[in-house]
Amino acid sequence: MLFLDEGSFEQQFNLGEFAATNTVSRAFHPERVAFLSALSKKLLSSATTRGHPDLVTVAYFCRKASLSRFERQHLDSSIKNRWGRGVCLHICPGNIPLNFAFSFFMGFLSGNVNLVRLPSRVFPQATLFLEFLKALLQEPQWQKLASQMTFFRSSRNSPKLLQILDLVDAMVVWGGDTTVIDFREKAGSPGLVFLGFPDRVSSCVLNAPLIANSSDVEIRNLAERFYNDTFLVDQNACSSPSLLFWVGSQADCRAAQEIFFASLQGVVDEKWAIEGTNLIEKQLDLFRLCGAHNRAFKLERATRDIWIFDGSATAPKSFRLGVFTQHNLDALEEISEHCRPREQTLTYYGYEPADFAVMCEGGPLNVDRIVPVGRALDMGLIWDGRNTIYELSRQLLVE
Amino acid sequence: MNADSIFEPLAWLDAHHRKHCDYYRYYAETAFADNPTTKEELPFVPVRAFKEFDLFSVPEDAIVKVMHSSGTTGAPSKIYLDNATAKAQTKSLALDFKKNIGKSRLPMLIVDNEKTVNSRSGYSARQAAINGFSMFAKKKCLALDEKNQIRVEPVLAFLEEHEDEPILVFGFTFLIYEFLLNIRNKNIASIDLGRATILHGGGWKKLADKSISNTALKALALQTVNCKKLVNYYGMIEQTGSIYFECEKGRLHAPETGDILTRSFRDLSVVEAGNPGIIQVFSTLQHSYPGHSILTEDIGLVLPGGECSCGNPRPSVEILGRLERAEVRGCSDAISG
Repeated sequence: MLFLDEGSFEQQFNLGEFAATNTVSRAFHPERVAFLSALSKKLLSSATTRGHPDLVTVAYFCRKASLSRFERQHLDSSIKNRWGRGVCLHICPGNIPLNFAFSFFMGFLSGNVNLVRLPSRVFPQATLFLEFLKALLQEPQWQKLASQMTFFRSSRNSPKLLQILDLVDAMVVWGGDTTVIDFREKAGSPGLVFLGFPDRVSSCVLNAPLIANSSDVEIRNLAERFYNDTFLVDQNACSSPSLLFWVGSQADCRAAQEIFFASLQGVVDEKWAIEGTNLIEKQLDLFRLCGAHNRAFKLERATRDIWIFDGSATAPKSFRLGVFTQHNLDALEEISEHCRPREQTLTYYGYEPADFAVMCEGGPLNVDRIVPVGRALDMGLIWDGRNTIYELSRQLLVE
Repeated sequence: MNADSIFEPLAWLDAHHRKHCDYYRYYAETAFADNPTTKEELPFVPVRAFKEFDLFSVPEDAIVKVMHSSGTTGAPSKIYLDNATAKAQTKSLALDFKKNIGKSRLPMLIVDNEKTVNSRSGYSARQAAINGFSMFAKKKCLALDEKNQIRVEPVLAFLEEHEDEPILVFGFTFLIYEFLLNIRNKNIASIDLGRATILHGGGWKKLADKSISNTALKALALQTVNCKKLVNYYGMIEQTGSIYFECEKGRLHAPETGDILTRSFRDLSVVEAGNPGIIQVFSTLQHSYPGHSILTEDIGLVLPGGECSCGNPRPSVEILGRLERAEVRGCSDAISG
């Protein structure tokens, strides 16, 4: 059964049967890679896909070339003796349409049989994804894979879901601290492999003299990519930067900030739709920040929508809706002093990957991911510092 | 009366709350200019702050009453009253009631039930409104049973007892609507409210969801109970005592103690009168808690004082709806489900 709605999941789903009729596969098995690249082709050949940028991203993610690159770069020869753990349950957030697809890829490529809980809201791009998947599974060469995955909806406190929690072999839980803690407490099996993705914060480092001397076109291009990392999702994603590091002289930092914020506001004016009560939430966040710290802060409204606090302000969770803190630094190395405890992604502009490699020679930087501005929201099989293919598979040792 | 003539007491309250309520001071210093010179520049508190924080500006032992909003979504608002503020609210309400409804001390038919009126679990918005308006009652009768169905016998007896005098019918808008429907469906022809004023407010969102307009409600009242005088009001538990009564032109006028403006949906800047925006309400009565300047989540259209053809010189508002709670985009606040 590929897809079960709330009612049929509750009444018909039987984990024992589901697990018994399925066998795990080797991790990164060529057949599974081939299946995903066939799915990618199907998605990319459809015009409707192109109407959903996030679905296009999903399609690119599972292209043959990108999966092979991942295998070359991030998997060693042990992969030949790595196997799925069994039934892997995925608990996916209710408000990101296609997070479940990436979570599924992680479990599927690790060789598991997958049970994926869909967001309760029905998103058109999620429906499309499932339709393409279903169509592909009806083709003769893929038919046997059909029994190895089930996508379902259920209420949060579904008795069936609670019952399953005790029996699965692996669990991947998204959706922040509360959800992760909740499911970790409910999970029963002592041997369970639990992969939880809690709340994180992210930052961005910008080369101030480079920006101060860039052309309008270059700045605009940077601003658009930065917009996609932040305002596009109301700065709500864990990987959306909320802290900005400006590296350069004070004069360069000031000049770069002025140019960059003006250009970014231009992009925001064109693209951002601040919805419903969010405008009031942004105001209320100031109240919450003061309340959490029991003091007032110096707020600089750089532009209409870009609000800046000095680096001493830390929000109870993270800033959102166009609120940032910033530090002006003399050198790139100073970043490490200012990284926060739950720093996940550091995006950069005006630097090379090698610059960070050099930096880390003195000791690790307290982040999990360093990517160029514009790629903060790109999902990967390595997430929150974990290679999910290794985490969700088991290594068979033969000596 | 110049709308800005209440700026001075509001500025005084701003200074008072900055001095005596830490949360308000931190917020005001962070988000607003130090010395406001117009009401537009005064700090405003988002109404939701009263749900999340305990806000008061008097010593804790001076607080005599805590009011709670009904809180249909999330936690209820908590409004801290001292004696002086509670009295000022009552006095202001009495004044405006007399001006808008007429003679006080009327027989009052309360369109609500025993459970709401005598609930001890805090002090809900409905209960607060009923208690507030009950001081104008000569005699009271509860019109609904626990299931919000009309109590036919007691209501008929009450109407008979007061058949020669004007009466006041009071209730939340959606309850009035269901009350009238109830009468129509049960075909109770003997209920004649031709001599009554129906005063209703709050809970209009449930009606807006059903697309019932104020006009439709008036038509229903005339058709079912022969009542020609329906008066809507706008008010909130966070500013009890400052009530906006509906005039004969269908607009809701600010009381002497209040003022109103609208802010932009895009950046909260003040929008010019006559354009829709997010409603901000002012009241000079809020001494024990910083509720003198509140940003609501209601959408309305404000006309400046003196522009309503009814002759009331106070600014007026037409309520257009309520802001939707926005969907959370991104993952940090995701609730699985």
